[in-house]
Amino acid sequence: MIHIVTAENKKLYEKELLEHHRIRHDIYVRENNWKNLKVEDGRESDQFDNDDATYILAIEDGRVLGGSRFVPTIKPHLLNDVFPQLAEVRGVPRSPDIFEWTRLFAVAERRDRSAGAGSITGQILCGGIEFLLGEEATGFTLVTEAWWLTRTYSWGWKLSPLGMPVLFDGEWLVASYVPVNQETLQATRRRFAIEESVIVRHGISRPAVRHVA
Amino acid sequence: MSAKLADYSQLAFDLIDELERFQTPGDVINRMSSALSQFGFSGFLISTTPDLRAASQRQTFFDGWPDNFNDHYIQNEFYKDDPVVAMCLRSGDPFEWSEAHYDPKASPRAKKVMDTAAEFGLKDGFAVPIYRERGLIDTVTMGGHYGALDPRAKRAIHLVALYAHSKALSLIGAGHPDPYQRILSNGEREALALTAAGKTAWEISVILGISEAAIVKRIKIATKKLGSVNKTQAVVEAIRAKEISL
Repeated sequence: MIHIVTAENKKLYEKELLEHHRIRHDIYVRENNWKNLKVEDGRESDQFDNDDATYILAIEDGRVLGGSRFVPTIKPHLLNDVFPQLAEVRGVPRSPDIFEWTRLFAVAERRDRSAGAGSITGQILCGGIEFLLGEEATGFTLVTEAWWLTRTYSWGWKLSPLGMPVLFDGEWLVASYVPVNQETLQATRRRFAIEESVIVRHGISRPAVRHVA
Repeated sequence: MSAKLADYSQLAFDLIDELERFQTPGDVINRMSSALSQFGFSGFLISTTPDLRAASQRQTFFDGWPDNFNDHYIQNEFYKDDPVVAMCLRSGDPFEWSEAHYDPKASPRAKKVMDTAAEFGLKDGFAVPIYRERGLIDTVTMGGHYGALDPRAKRAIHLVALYAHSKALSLIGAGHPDPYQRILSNGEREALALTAAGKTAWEISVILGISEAAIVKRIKIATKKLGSVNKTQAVVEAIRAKEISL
């Protein structure tokens, strides 16, 4: 199941949050060799891992198998603060109903390369879209490597570019905006053969993210 | 943002918006061709880019080449010697055709491919390899006679290529043969797996309870299917294709 973790209920998920930072280290620092990340005691974090962040964690039998992070675009976030050049043409979308979606990951042994039925990746993606719809969000922004466009096409997502590709640390990156609605959820569920809700909300309000004007 | 970049990005964004609305390959090819001509290109192609072993299974998504260049290319099996294809298989980043180096003396067939392209008006070009899941590669490539490309134009084209490729997938479908399709039969796979474990054909015949001649035949067929010259290479190829594992 996909658990939603915010500043409000993070006391219930202390162990899982620590585990998720450790897994992020394994994947982003060791496997992917990203530079410029903060590492402390084998855990990876950046300046956007704060109380404005909402985590969605795939947890099975007490183990964290994957996860992702949302940050409101009206707060400091990756696209606006670190990679604004990626949105040179259309500008950085900043609105209470648009979130930035980052750090999507699944642990190696459950990272089904075909991302087929019931895969952890599929659950996280469907859980993420469910979360966004629950917040009455209308869309989200993504900073990804350029080749992700092809991947997301197969998930039923309609990406639109915010700027031109930029070469960063040897990789071409692009920023995109993706609208979400019920159709998006249906398409993503169909793609991963997921038939029902996958999210769990322990001890948080709805909406989980309260926007302060 | 400089004026030139603004122009290029405007071109790219307008094109990407319009692509979303098109429903037929013909519409896409026409619109892409007219947009790319503003960069100096006289044609483009979006196709799968299988490695040499599966080269004959190459499939075309959008043929925007002038005249019958694509037909000529396929009939002459140019993909086997095309230095641009070789570069796509080596590197995932966009590149100019001139960066796909080859030695004209050592590779006369590579030279023939590029010379023929030039005869069709495709002297210069730009290619955007697209690496998909499970090691599948597609390519968006375009050519013309324009000399040099502004680096800012390249970024615009890179973006357009990504979207045009996604459009190709949505209109035409996955393009590659089913990546889950097994190359070897169960018997061939079994014989090869035991070979990988160091067993001789005779030992395998004892283990499986069939004649040694039958085992030798299975290994021979497996070797051929995997495009290899001997069973040692076949084992390597089978592991790479995930037909067997150690």
